[in-house]
Amino acid sequence: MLLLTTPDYLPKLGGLSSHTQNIEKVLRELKIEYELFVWKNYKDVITFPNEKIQKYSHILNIHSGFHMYMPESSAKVINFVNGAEILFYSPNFFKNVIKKITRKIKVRRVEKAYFNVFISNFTYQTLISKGLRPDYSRDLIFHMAIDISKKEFCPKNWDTGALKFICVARDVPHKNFRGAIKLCEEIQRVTGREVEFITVTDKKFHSSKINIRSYVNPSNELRDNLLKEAHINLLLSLDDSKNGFFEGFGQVVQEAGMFGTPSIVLSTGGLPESVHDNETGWVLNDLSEKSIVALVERLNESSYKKISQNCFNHTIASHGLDNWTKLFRELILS
Amino acid sequence: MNKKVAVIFNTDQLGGAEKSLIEQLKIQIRKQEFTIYIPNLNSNKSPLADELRRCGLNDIKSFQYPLFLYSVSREKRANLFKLLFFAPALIYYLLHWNEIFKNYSTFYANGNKASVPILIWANIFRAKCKLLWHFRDYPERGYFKLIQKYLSIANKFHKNFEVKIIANSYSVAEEIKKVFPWLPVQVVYNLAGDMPRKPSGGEVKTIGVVAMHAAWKGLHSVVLMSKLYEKELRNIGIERIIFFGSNIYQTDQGSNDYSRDLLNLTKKLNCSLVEWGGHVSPDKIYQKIDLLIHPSLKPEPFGRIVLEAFLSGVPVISTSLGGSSELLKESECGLKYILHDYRGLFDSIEGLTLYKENRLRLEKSAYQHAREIENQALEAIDRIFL
Repeated sequence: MLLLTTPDYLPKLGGLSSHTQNIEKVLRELKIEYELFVWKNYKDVITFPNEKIQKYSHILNIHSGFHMYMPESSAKVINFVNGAEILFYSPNFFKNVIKKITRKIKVRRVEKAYFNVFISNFTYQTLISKGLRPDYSRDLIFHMAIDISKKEFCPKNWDTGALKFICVARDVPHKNFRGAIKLCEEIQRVTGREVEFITVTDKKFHSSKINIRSYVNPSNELRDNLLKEAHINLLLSLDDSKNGFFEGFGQVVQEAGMFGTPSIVLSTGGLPESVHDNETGWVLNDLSEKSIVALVERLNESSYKKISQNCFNHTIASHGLDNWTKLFRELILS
Repeated sequence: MNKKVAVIFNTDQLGGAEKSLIEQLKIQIRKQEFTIYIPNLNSNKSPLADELRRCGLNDIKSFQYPLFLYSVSREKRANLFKLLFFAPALIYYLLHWNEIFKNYSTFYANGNKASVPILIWANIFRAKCKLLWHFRDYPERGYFKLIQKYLSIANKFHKNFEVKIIANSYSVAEEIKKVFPWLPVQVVYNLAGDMPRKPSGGEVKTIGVVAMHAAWKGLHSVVLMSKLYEKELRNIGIERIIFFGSNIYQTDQGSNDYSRDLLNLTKKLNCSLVEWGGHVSPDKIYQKIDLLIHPSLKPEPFGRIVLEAFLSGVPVISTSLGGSSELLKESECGLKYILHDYRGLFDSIEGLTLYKENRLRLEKSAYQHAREIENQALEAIDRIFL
């Protein structure tokens, strides 16, 4: 019996919630019996009944925080290590101090895992910088997988009509919606082409220079249709590690990719591992005029077509849930 | 009259960098007179010394090299206090180096650790000489900033000391020019030496991975792929994946742990395709394998084993980062795969295994490209000492 733990689940939406549902699909496909535990805070983890935890052969944590706090167990623990939890940061001063003080103990806990699955090398190196002693027989780098059952290659014409860019994210500073608007405005200015920016988040945006269509918390179906419609997905996340945020991998890149919509990302966090520059999308070092002009020079009908097709093929082959099925077959069933 | 050149190595072991320099020396041996200096040499235990003698380079001497310079050079940030702490010991070494080096006007330093004694000695003793500084890796930050500052100041006062940088790829040269924009940089590709060519047209049954045991070489990613796609690999006829190499430099505890981790991972996942071949000479390795995987996780300054494979007629699948992308030539000569894309790596293996015409085409263009690289290198080597 396997215990699957997560801090986020339906009806709450978000990356970890959909990640958990995807793992459930994988476990069902592998016919692995499991119980789901959704924890809201670390008190829930610390008070998890000791006699109950002993009955599991495996514990699979969507968020490595569970392993850091859970009671001791003889079960084989497999942690997903996604991102910001490994920065050991809190905006609350006292909680921040406690996190820093207890960091070593928590890292030592993670070292006792059967396997740690890091969604990017950046995440792995970050935890090493926080004191994790690397062990390549325990620590695996395995990129994010998503449910691609709705995959559909949607070719878009680059040369005609408005250029459509989309950004799907929570409106938090590190997601950098302002940067995305700036990029769209600059592309319009440099190319002379009309640019439309589609935002999918929890608020509306405005610009005096470009047309912005804002969708506040749309349905999944509408969101997918918008990803299909856009030429390019933007994920210009900033590295805000000092304040507890960085992009571990950028799941939305694959969510766009399964419709043949390539992404432009900044070279921060795990994003350069999610988008392969000039092959499946574009990676920018910054949003300077020089970088944007160089980007525009690379964008034309022929290069866009090629990258869009590559992006779709790569997403379907390497980021579908079948990849996790393979992994967990070996980690859990073997 | 032959020029007398002091060749400075930074190790007594025989890795890719050392082999490449030996190939260059073999070509120049009629024009130059070489005295080889190996740090802290124990003649009976040095594979480097053995190989040099085998190639007719018999004038081999030991010189003392402070161990603290090895550890300090591995740190990412320059610690001036540490250097100052060891300064008194450095005085002893400087006097020792002066005794040896004062007899030479030209130095050929293989790598950064080898160049440091010459840089320091030449500037302190105001030696009139030329340093051919052969970079084998990208310039690191930290100490290079220190060396850059030192050189830029020292060069103003010591005009009789010339430095010429040799880079082993255009990728490395580009990075060096950012650190030392005022120094001349020449690109000399590594030579692989004589590699017996395998007959082409055979089936792909044995895959090889050839690298020292260091995490950045990415061996663990291939071990994982071999397990994830074990059934599929066997279905297309792959019988084994042999990992050749070991922790040759034995200087880094991390690398020793990595060797242990590789064995543990193989055991933990029960990887039935994986075999550990140990240290085998290159001319024998490529006769045993039908396909080479080059899984480096970070930019490779050159990627000598890719060249060896090309010359041997063995097709290559590589992450193609850094200098090795100059060898792979955008998939004309080998296949590229994305880091940690296990499915992508398997697809490339499958493509080369099942589609013979594709494989033969790649082998042919890879061999031709390798010959061009070698010709370029031979011409460039002639110009090193000019």
